Amino acid sequence: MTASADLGRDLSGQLTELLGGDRVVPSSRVTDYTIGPFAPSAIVRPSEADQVSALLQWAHHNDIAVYPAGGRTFSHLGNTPTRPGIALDMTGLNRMVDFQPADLTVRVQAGMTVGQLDSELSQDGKCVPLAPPLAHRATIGGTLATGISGPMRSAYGLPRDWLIGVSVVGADGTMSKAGGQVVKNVTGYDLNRLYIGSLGTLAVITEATFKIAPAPMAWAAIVAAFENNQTAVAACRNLLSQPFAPQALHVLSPPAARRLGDSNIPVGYGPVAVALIAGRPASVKRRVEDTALVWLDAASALHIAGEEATQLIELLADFPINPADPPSVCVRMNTSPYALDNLLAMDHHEIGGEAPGVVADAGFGGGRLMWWGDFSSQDAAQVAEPLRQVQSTVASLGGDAIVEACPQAAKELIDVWGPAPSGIGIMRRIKEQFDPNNLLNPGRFIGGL
Amino acid sequence: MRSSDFLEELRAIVGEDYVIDHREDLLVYEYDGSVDRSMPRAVVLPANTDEVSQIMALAYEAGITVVGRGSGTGLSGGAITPPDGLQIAFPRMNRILEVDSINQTALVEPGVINLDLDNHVRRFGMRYAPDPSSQRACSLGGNIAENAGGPHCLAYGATTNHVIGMEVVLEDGEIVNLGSQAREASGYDLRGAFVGSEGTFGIATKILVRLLPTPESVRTFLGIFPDIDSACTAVSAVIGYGIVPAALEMIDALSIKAVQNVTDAGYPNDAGAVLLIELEGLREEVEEVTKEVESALWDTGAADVRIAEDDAERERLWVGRKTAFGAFGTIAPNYYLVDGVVPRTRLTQMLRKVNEVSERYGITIANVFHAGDGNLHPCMLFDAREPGIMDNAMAAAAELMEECAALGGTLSGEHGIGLEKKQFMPLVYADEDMAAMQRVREAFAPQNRLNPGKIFPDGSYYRPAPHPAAHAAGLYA
Repeated sequence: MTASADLGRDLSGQLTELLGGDRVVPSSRVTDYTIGPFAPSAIVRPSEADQVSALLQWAHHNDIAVYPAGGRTFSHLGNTPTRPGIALDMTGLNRMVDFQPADLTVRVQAGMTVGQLDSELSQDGKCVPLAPPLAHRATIGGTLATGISGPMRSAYGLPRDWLIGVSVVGADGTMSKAGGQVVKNVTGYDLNRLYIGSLGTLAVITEATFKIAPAPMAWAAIVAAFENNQTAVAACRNLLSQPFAPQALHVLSPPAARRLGDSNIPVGYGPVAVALIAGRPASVKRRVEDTALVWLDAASALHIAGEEATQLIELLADFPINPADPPSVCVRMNTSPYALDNLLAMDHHEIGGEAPGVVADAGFGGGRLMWWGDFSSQDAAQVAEPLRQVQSTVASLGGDAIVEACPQAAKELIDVWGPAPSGIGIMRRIKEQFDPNNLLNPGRFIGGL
Repeated sequence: MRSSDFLEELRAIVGEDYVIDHREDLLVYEYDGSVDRSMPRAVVLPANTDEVSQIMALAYEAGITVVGRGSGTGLSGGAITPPDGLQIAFPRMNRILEVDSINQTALVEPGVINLDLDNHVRRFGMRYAPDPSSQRACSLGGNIAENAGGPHCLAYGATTNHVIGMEVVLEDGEIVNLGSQAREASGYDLRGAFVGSEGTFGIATKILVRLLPTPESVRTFLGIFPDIDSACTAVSAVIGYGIVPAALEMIDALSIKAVQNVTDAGYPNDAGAVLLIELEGLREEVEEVTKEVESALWDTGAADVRIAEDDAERERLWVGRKTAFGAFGTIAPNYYLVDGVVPRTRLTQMLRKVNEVSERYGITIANVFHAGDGNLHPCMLFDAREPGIMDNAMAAAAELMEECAALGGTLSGEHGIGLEKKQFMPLVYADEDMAAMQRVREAFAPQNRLNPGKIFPDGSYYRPAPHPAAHAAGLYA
C-alpha cells in the first residue's frame, strides 16, 4: 500500500456531493496525510460535527475505512494501517463553543489547537494544563486520542484528569456524548476515559469539555548536573520526599541533555536533573531556594526563571518530535517512579552502535528512549530486536513500552504497543462493540485493533 | 442447579462459616444506605481472589446474578440484590498489602475501610485523598464501584483520579489486570472505564491506589453567613478569584441545627448558612490564599470568619460536617438524598428551587453539600410511616433532578445512579449516549450477570421500599 489505493469509485465526486467541494482536500496534498507507507485515497476536512456524522455514515454504508487526523504531529504513532481508506482532517472544527470562567469550565471543538486554547484561556488567567508536544499544532482531539501528556504531568495530571465531557461520532455516524459540563459526575459509565488514548479506533471526538484551573503566576526551573546515575537518582528521591518538591522532575542522560537544545542545560558532565516549578510567586521562591539547598552537592546547579523556564518546559514537551532535531527512533516507557534507575540504565540498548538518550520523569514515573541516527539502511531486524528487548525489560518492571517512532521496515516486525496486556480480550470486545466493521483507524492500535 | 446444591458448592469453595443463607442472618444484607431493601438468596464471604473467581464461575454456570457489596453505605441502591441473587461481600478481604513510599502507592484488598487506609499511610507522611463522609465505614471496593467523592475531591479529584491499577474478576470468573503499576498503560483505559461502573463490570479484588504527600500547612475556616444566597455568592467569589481550595462545603441553617443537636461542632446556631473551607499546601501559599479567601468572604457579606486555631478545633469543624446526615435523625426518622450537580454559578438558582420545592411539597429539606464543585445534597427529611410521603418525596426529588439537568448539570456527583435514579437518565443522556455505555458493559459482562437492573432505565417505575432501619443505616453521606 505505497500509493493511493483505488477504492474503485469516484471518491472525490461522491465526497464533494456529500460535504461540498470546499470540504474535499485536493489530492495534491496527500503527502501531508500519509501514515508511514499508507496514503489515503481521499481527504476531507469538515467544519461541523454533522458533516463528520454524514461522512462516517457514508463510510459505514460503503465499507470504507476512515483515518482521523488532527494537527498530524503524532500521526506516526501506532501500527501501519491495514485497509485503504480516507483521511478525515478535523482541523476545520476549531471553535471555542463555551467558556465559563466563573464555573472553571470550557467547551471546544476537537480541531482547535491546544495552543489556541491556551492563548484564549491565558487572557483570563486560566489554563487547561495539557502541554502536548508542539502544542501550537496539536489539536485537542488529537491530544485526547493519543492520550499524550506534557512534562508537568506529575503535578497537573493527564488529559483524563481534565476532560469532563465529550461529543463523538461513532463508526456508523451516530452522534453521542459522554460526561457533561460539571466538574463532578458519576452519572452513567465514564466513557471520557475510554475515548482518551484510544487513537480514534472507537469513535471520532468532535467536541470536548474541560475543567480549567488558575494559570500559574510564576515559573522557574532548577537544572543540576550529577556525577553519575546513582547520585542523580538519590538527589531526585530526596527532593521528591520534601514538602517543597517541584511540580515536575526529569532526568536526562548526557546524550539527551546534549540533544535537548537548551543553552541552560549543562553538558559534558553526568546526567542532568531538571526540576520544574510553577505557582504563586511566594511558593515558587520557596521551592527554588529549598531545592537549591538540598542539591548543594550537585556538580552544578543553575536557577532559571520566567520565560526561560517556560521555554525549557516547551523544549521538554516537544523533545520526542522536535522538528529541529527529531529522533529517528523513540520509545515511551510507562513505569512507576521506582524504576527511575532502571530507566537511566537502559542506555545500553544500542541500535546500529548508537546508545539512546534517556529522559525519565522522576516524579510521575516512566520516560523515553531516543535515538537520532539514520537507520534507514540498517537491517530491519537489527532495529526491531533492541526495541523488543526494551519492551520486554519494561514489562519486567511492571510497565509497558510503546515504540512511538521507528523506521517502517522495523515497525512491520513488532507491535509498537508492546505485548498484549491482560485486558486484551475486553479491549477486543470493546472494539467489536464500537466498530464491528473495523472502519476507524483499522489495525493501528494495540493487538491490531 | 438446585439452590441447595449451589449453596453446598459455595460452601466447598469458602468453607461452611462463610456462606450466609438463614433469613435472620440475611437481614443486615438486605439494605444499604439508600431507601430500599431486598433480601438476597445468600451472601458469600470470600477470603481471596481465587475464591472470588471460583464463586463467580460457579454462579455464572448456574445462571445466578451476583451483586458485590462493600460496607453497604451506598446511597443509590447499588448493593441491593434481587431475591434470587447472590451477594458477595468482602469483610475478610481487608488487608493493606503494601505501602510504597517511593512510588507513593498502596496495594489494598477491596474490603479495606477508606479511613483505615488513610490513617495507616499517614504514619509514612502520605494520605489517601478521596474522603467520602462515610469514610469511617465505606470500603475501597465500594468506592471504586461508585467512583466515590468527598469534600477533598474539589482539589484532588474523585476515586478514579487515585486508582492506578486493579485486579478484577469478571462475571465468568476470569481474573484480569486493568491498568498497571504505572499511571499510564497502553491499550484502552479499562481501569478508567471500570471505576464508577457500579459493580456491573466485575469485582475488584486488588487495588493499587495513588497516595499524596501530607501537606505542609493546612488552614480550616468557617465563613458564617446570614443566608444561603450570600453563602452561594461567596462560593462563586472564591472560585472566581481563581482559588480552588482543598475543600469548600456548605451547611445550611437546618443542618447546623441538626449537627448542633448531637455535637458541638462550633457552628453558630443563628447562622443562615456556613461555609467550611480548607486550604492546603506550602506555608507561603496557604498564607497568601488565606488572605484572599478571607476578603472574598467579607466582601460577599459574611457575618463572621473564624479560622481553626489548632488541630482539635479543625477536627471539630469537620466532625460536624461529616456527621450531619446521622444528625438528621434528630429531626426526622427517614431521609432521602438527591445528589445532583450544577455548574457552580447556578448554585443560588438551584437552592432557590430546592426551597420552593420544599414549600410546595410540604417536605423539610436540609442542605449540606460540596459547594465548591456544585454537588448538591438536598436531603428530604420525613417519617416514612406517614401515608403517601414516599411518593411525595420521590416526586420532589424528580423535580430537583429535572432542575439540575435544565441548569446544565447532572443527576449524580458521587453516589451513583443505581436503582433510584435510573429512570431519570434520559434527563441527561439521549438513547445513543446510553447505547454507547451499554456497549462497554457488553464487552466487560456480555451476559449482564453482575448487578443487573441498575443504572439504565428499563421502563419500570422505581418506587423504593423504605425500611425502619433507614435512618440507622443512613449515618453517612
